[in-house]
Amino acid sequence: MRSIAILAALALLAACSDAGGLSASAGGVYAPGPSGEPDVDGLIVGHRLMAANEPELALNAYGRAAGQQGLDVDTLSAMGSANLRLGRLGQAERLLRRAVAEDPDFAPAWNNLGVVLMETDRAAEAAESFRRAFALVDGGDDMVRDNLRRALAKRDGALYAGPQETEEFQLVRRGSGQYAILTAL
Amino acid sequence: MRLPLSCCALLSALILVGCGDSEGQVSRAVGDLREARDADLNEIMLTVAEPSESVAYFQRLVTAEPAAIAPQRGLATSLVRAKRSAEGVAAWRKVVAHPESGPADSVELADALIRTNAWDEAEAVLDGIPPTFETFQRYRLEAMVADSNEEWSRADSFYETAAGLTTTPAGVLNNWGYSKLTRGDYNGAERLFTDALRQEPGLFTAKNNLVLARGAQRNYQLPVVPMTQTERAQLLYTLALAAIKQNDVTIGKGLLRDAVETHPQHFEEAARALNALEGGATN
Repeated sequence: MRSIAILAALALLAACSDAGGLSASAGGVYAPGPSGEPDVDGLIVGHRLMAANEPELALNAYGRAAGQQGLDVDTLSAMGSANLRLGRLGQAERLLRRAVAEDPDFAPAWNNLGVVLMETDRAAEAAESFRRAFALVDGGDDMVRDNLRRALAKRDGALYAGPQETEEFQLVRRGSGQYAILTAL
Repeated sequence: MRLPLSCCALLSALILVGCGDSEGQVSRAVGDLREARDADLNEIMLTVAEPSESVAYFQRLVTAEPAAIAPQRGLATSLVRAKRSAEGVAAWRKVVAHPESGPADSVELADALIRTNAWDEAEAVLDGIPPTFETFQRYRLEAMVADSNEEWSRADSFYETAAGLTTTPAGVLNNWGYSKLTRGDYNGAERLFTDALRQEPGLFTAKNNLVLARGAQRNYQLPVVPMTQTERAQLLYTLALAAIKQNDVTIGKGLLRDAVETHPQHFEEAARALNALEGGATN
């Protein structure tokens, strides 16, 4: 009978290991003191990884940020930019369209969507996206203005001239989570 | 070690009690996953799938969950996509009657009504939507309704608003141009069709309309727009018909001949029209 009682107790403990055991009040598995539970902003980590040219890792960091604060306009736009840097244009477009649908007043998302559209040869729609971004920053951003100018030139040139040599567009980080295209000359 | 039956029962009961909570978590997580997967599948069904297949898919979903609004929306959208407008109207009515429906659903109902030519009812539905709901789709439909009532200044303002609310205004600019063509404002129509083509250089309807607008002004030259060989032949044919309608029969004949020669294949319609014009002698 004693062995059965022990077994029962063991079974109870086994089932409870999830909740009890190394509980938070006992300090958990982390060392006491300053090194508590990781409390970093995934968005900041992601932005730094993007700056360090590690888009795949940045995408993971943005994913963690999205897990914490939900898929809001910041995380959607950031994930879209990371996908864009990785060359996954379709996924980037989907995420960025969701971002602008969520908050139509977020200029970086419009700008990044414009970049995707430029890359997929839809200059007219890209120009409209850049125009919205340009209006939202009150015309105060040179990068957005240059993007808009380039998109308009490409759109209006398309009616008369054939496809010209492909310019290479590049994403450049500006501020937190804001990207712009530059031609690599 | 052999255990009596009652002890085994006790043990398993204890284990189950301990697991109750995590099992709930698991089922919730699986439910979330299923929802996400369904959302993806719905999107595929609404965009790239065969229309009749998507109708069947959403009909199955609606019978599985009759109370949810999302499958009903999907069913209504796919019915309209499958060009079964009358059924689409009925489906959208059901969605609008649902307690969770919003103004966007009423706009879609109006769209379906316009597709079945029920303009008066569509106007009534659009008038019932609160004025604070300002979307591209709403103003596009309002403009079409105003056009059907020949209220030109209202239509103009609606078209302008709609074009400002979207990043792809080519379609609505084309509609606006067609509206101007109907009123006889050929110059304005030509400008709008050119704008539409600047937004979307591949829009053949706009090219055809542009040629019509130019033909109506007796300007029988093809505009400078990018086009394929087949499109060029079709535009020449449109231009020829416009010329013949305005009694410029000789020019029309020349254009028809051009069209037949331009087309990479045999251009049946143009050849027949040319035969009919010259045919008296051969018969």
